[in-house]
This record gives sequence, C-alpha cells and structure tokens, in this order.
Amino acid sequence: MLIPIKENLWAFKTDNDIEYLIKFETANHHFIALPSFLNIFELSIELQKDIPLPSLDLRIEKTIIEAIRKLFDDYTNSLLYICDNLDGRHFARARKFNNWFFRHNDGTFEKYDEKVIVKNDADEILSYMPISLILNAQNPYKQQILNIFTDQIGEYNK
Amino acid sequence: MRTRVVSESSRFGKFLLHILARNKEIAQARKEEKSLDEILDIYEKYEKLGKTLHADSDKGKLMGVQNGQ
Repeated sequence: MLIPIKENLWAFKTDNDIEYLIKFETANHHFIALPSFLNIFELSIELQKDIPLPSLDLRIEKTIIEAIRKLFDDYTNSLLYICDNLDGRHFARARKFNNWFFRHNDGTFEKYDEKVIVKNDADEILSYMPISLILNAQNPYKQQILNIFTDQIGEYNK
Repeated sequence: MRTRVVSESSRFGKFLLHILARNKEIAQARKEEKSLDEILDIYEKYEKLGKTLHADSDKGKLMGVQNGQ
C-alpha cells in the first residue's frame, strides 16, 4: 500500500519487509524554456537495502505504477526517468521500465526515449544514460514540452 | 532511440552529472545501511544544490534580457 510521506514522496513495504521510496523531484529549473505553469518531475525509485536483483513481485510494479498515475492526476505533468550507469545495469533498468510501460499503458501515456552521453572538454565520456520522458497523451502542451526537452538535450556547450 | 551527446558544461550535462553525483552518494549510503531518513536527507541536499546549479548561466541570460540582448 502506498503511504504518502510528503508532497511527491511515497513509500511502501513489501511482504519481505523491504521498504521502497518513490520520489518525484521537480526538474523544472533544468529546463530554462519551460513555462512556469508546467512541471517536469524526475522519478527516483529507492530501496531501503542494497539488493543486487530487486524482486520481480508484480505487486511492486503495480504499486510503483500507481504512484506514477497519481503524479499524472495533473495531466500537464511530465516525468523523466533517468537510468544512471553507476552499477552498469542502466540498460537493464531501462528495458524493465520499458516493459512496465507497455504492460500498463492503455494509451493514456506517451514515452520518448533517448540515450545521452555526457562528455568533458577533452572529449572523454563521463556518463552514458538512457532517459525516458513520459507525457499524458492528452496533455495540450505535449509538443511544447517535447520541443523543450529535445532542444535542451540537443544543445552542446551552451 | 537516438543517442545524443552533451557537454558537461551544457545545462543538460550539468543536470545529468548532478543526478549521477546524488545517486552515487545514495548508493554509498545504502551500502552503509543508512536509514531511509538519512537517504532522504541526501535527496534534500541535492534538491537544494540543484536549484543553484545553473545560477551563473541564468543570471547571465537575465542580464542579457535586461540589457536588451
């Protein structure tokens, strides 16, 4: 069961007593062209314990999806899911999230995927992350948000 | 899925490296079996840092607008 901790922060506990946190952090300030009446959130799913392979329990998946649906109670909200490459499992996580998305999406949402490489001035790769932007298909500002997102990713050295 | 390249000094590059630093600290906290409250403190710290991440460039752009640029 989802327990609200504070605004945009949820927790739940599995039958194995593992606590999960689901956090939606505002990322608005990273998108300079985003109008102030729109919100882009970044999704974090945090486990209490350092588990190498989190459970495949379908209830966990459903609970996380429930929290995401709540965020979209405001259908102009957008969600970023960034898979960091710290543990080398970023593409596995992106695939898992992708499977969830297609399993639960009834056409309400649209997802745009990108792979982003961050390089330093010496042209060395600092990071390589798959990123998904999820929007409500009925969001009247969908194209505007998408343009802002792709412009922001498309810029180099600005 | 397209592959994009961003520089570490771009706005999006800074954002991603900021997320990476936060997640690294959280992963370390988890290894040390810190409590959820302590992990939330890390989130809060980075949330505050994130809001000032682009302060210099935003100030520059604002000055540009004020100067009619």
